Formats: sequence, structure tokens, C-alpha cells
Amino acid sequence: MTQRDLFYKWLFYSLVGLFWVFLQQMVLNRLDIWNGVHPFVLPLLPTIAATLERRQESAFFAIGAGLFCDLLMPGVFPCFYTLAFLSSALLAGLIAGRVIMPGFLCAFVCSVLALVLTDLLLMLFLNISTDFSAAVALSLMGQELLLTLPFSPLVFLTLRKVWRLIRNA
Amino acid sequence: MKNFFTKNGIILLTAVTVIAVVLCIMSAAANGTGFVHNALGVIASPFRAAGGAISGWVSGISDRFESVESLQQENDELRRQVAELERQLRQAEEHSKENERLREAMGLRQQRQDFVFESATVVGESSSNWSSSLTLNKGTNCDIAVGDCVVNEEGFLVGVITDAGLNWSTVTTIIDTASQLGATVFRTGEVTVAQGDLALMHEGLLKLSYLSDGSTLMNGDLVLTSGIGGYYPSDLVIGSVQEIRTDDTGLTKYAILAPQVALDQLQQVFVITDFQIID
Repeated sequence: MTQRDLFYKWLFYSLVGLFWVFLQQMVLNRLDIWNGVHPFVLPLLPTIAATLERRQESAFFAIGAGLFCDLLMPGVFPCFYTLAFLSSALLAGLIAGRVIMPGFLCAFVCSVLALVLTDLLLMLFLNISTDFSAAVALSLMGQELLLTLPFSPLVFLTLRKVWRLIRNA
Repeated sequence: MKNFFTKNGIILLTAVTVIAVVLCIMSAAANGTGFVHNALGVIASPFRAAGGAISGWVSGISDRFESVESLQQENDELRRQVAELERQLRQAEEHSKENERLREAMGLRQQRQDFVFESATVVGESSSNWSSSLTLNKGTNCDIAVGDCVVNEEGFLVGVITDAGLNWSTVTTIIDTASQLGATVFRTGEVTVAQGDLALMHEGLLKLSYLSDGSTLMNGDLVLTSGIGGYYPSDLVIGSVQEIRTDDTGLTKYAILAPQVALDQLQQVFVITDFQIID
């Protein structure tokens, strides 16, 4: 693959990512499906991209996506999204191929792990800074998972489209 | 580098997780805004401004599609409210004059609150289900500091500044789990604490804790900031009582508060950078 192909591949992945960030901010954040909890698809993007690519660049993509979200939205602590996305992508890269063959099932399992990892980090922060009930936090994590996972096939399909487009080009 | 993750994945994942946990602990324990955090915020501010502008533009487009009928209804309601407020204003002016006369007659000094406001635009809002915060386009260069109260154009409390950089600041809204304010019930004068709760945050509600045994709180009661301690100004409207509940132990009561401000529709807010209470 030439440098030019590589550039276009990650440009297309970024554009798909941008579309999902836009959708999250404009539509998903405003949805009130289950006691005001909304789907949170952002951690799925670098994770699913890492299961498809399994290359060094997907870690950089996760850093880029995280930095973009950190710059755009207030996180619970500085670089929250960067670190959460990078660890999710690394975990997904390890699982894809080693534990589960890359594909939809692998993307789905990695999406679950990415959301759990992100929420555990948030729970740790909340546990130090405020008082909260573990039952409420776990219930929130469950609600978020159940609301977000139906979007994982859509995220997977949009990212796989890019992956196929570049592979066939 | 097809085998990148197989070769380096575990080491990198461990390193990143350790960094994340350390940053998380440091951030939770830290007071104020550090240099790196401030610098990152300054770099981010044009991106946030652009994001806020796009978000405002899209919201503006969707607003245009609102039906004429609903706008007509809203207009009628607003006219009715203006008439009612004008009547209340006339009454308040009379009360104010009477109050002034009585204070003079009894030899009491005048009492008033002076606020210094700084208007700011909301350029970002938290996407997470775990927190409720907003980013503003102004910071320490406009005298905004951590602990300043933020209100909307009607003077209803939005939240408190918890992070302030050179040209940006973060508001933790009143429904966030980190939010805790001294409160007083307008009708009874009972002093309590209004605090965010993880279970109520998604419904846009907060909790009024530490109610006394003989509390006569009623649904619809207005709750204001108490101003006790002088940290926050008093008499800022937090919300109204929606429901009174008993906790799991069955021993203490708490109330559910509905904020007066629509936190998801804010575009312009006012930061109280200084206040003075003259008794």
C-alpha cells in the first residue's frame, strides 16, 4: 500500500468518525429513550477500526479521535477521551485475531469491552471525587450498554465499507 | 506493521491504563486548573467555538421547522405571562416603597445585593451519561474564576464554574453528581442542601437533602441558594420541589427538585464574577 493509499484510507475513516461525532452531538445526545440515558457511540469508533485494521496506525487513529473529542467536549479529566479510546483500541487490537477472528462478532465483543473500560474509568473518577451508589452506577453502565450496542452493527458497517473500499481499490 | 498489537499490545495497553488511572486520581484530587490543562483548553477553544457555532446553526435550522400553531400558542402564553409579570412588578414597586418607608421609620439600613455579571456563550456540552457540564467561551481573562455561579438570562441558577483557563471555563451544572449547594426553601425558610444525584441526573433533576423531621415542604415550593458562608450569593433560584420521598432506611426524607432552567437549551449564560451583599 502506497503512502497515498494510506492517507486516503485514514482520511475516509476520519470522515466516517466525524459523521458519528456529529450524529452523537446533534441527535443521540438529545434522545431520551430510557430515563434520560442516551447512547454513547464514540468509544466504538476507534475500537471497531482497530479490529478491522489491527495495525499501528489504528492506535494513532484512536489517539487522534480521542484528542478531537477532548478538544471539542468537556471530559471528566484532561485527555480522558484520548486515554479511553487508546486503551480500547489496544485491547481490541489484541483480541482481534488472537482470541476472536476479525468480523462482526469480534467488533461487537470489543465494543462491549470498550464501553465497560470507559465506564470503569468514569466510575473510578466519581468514586474518588463524589459519593455515589455502586448499584446506581452499574445500572447506568448497563443502560448505556443496552442503548449503545444496537448501534455497533451500524458503526461496523460504515467502517467496514471504508476498509473494503480501500482493499478493493 | 501487521503484528503491531501482538508484539507491543499488552505493554502499551498496560502503560496507557496506568497513565489513565494516575491522571484520573490526580484530577479528582487536584484543586484548580493546572498549566497543562489550561494550555490544552486554550488550544481547544477555537475548535469548541467552531463546534458550538455548527451546533447553534443546526439547532437554528430545526427551530425554523417548528409549527406556526405551536409558536402562536407560545406567543399567547408569553403575552399572558408578561401581563402577569407587569402586575407583579407594580405590586413589587409598591412593596419596595413601603419597605423603604418602614426601614426608614425603624432606623434600619437598606439591604440589597449587587452582582457583577459577565456574559458568555456555551460552546460545548458533555456527551457523557456520567456528568453534566458545559464549556464557556470566556475564562480568567474576563475575571471568571472557579466557584463563580452561572445563571441564565432570567437569573435562574445553571451551575458553578469548576475549571477556568485563560479564555475558557467549565460549568458543572446543578444536576451533576459533583454539585452541592446550600439551599433554602423560599416559603418556609428551611435551610437544606441541594445536590446532584447520579440516579436523577439523566432525568434533569436533583436532590434536596437533610430535610428536618418537622419539614413542611410541599410540591411546587421554590428553592433558592442560601448564601450561608458567603461562598455563593443568596436568593438565586435553584428549582422547585417536584416530589418528597423517604430514603431506603425510612428514617430521613428528601425532596426531588426540578431546575427552573432548561439545561439542554442554553446558548448564552451569565457568570456572577463578583457579588456584594449590603445589609
